[in-house]
Amino acid sequence: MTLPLLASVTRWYCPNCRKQDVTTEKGPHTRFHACPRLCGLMAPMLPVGTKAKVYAVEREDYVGREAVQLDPERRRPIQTVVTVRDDGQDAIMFAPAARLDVRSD
Amino acid sequence: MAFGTSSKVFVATIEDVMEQTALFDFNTHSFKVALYGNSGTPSQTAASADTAYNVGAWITANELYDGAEWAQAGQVLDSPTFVAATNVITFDAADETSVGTSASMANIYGVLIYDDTLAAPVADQGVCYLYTGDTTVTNGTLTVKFNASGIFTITL
Repeated sequence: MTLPLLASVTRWYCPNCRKQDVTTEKGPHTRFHACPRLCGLMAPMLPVGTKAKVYAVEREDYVGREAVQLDPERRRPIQTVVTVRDDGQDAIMFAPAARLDVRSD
Repeated sequence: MAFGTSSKVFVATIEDVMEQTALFDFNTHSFKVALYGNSGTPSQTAASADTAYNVGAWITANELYDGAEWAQAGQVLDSPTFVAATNVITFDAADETSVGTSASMANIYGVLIYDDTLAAPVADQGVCYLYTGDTTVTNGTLTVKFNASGIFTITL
C-alpha cells in the first residue's frame, strides 16, 4: 500500500504591511519578518484567517547605558512586540544585555 | 518592592569565578532563564547565596510560570556561546520561546539567568538579571529575545 506524503503548508500575512508568505515546516512555528510599518522591527506574521493586531511597545523607563533593542528606523527603544488576537495575546520581549565594563580609559 | 529598570551581572558571581569559589563553566554547564514579576527587588551586589534561584529576590513566590508552557524554574538556554573577541567577552544563547501556544502569564518584569548545573557551594547560582518591562501573554506564546550584544558582556 502506498501512502502519499502530504506537505504541510501554512500561509502567513502581516496585518500591518500586508506582506504574505508560505512555509512548509512541520510542527508549530512562527514566521517573522522585518515589518516596514513597525519601523523595520522583526514582527510575527499571522496565519491567514487569523484576525489580530500587532504593535510595538516603546520602553518608557530610563535607558541610561542599557543595551536595549532599538527600532531600526527611528532608533527608539522597544521593549515588546505584542500580538493581540481574538482569543489571546502573544508577546516578544526584547531583553537588554547586562554589561560589565571594566575599562579605565 | 519592584524589579527596577536595570540589567546587571552579579558582582558576587564575578568574584566567585575569579576566586574559584564557584566553578562556573560557561561552555559546558546548563543555564536557565526564569521569569519574574514586580514583587522582588534584585540587587547587583547581593551575596552569592542571594543570587540563586529560589533565594532572596528570586524566590518562587515572585516567579511567573505556566505549567508545561513555561516550566517553573525556567527554561534551559539553547545553544549557549561564550566567546572572547578583541576586548569583549560575550555570553549569548538562542532566543527562548514558550513550549506550547496557550501560555498565560501576567506582568512579567524581568528574567534571571542562572547556572542550573552548579550545585556547590551555592546551588543554581545566578549570573545576571535582565529588565524587560511589563509584559503579559494570554493563551499565547512568549518569546524572550536576547539583545544582539548577547545576554551579558564584559568589556576589558
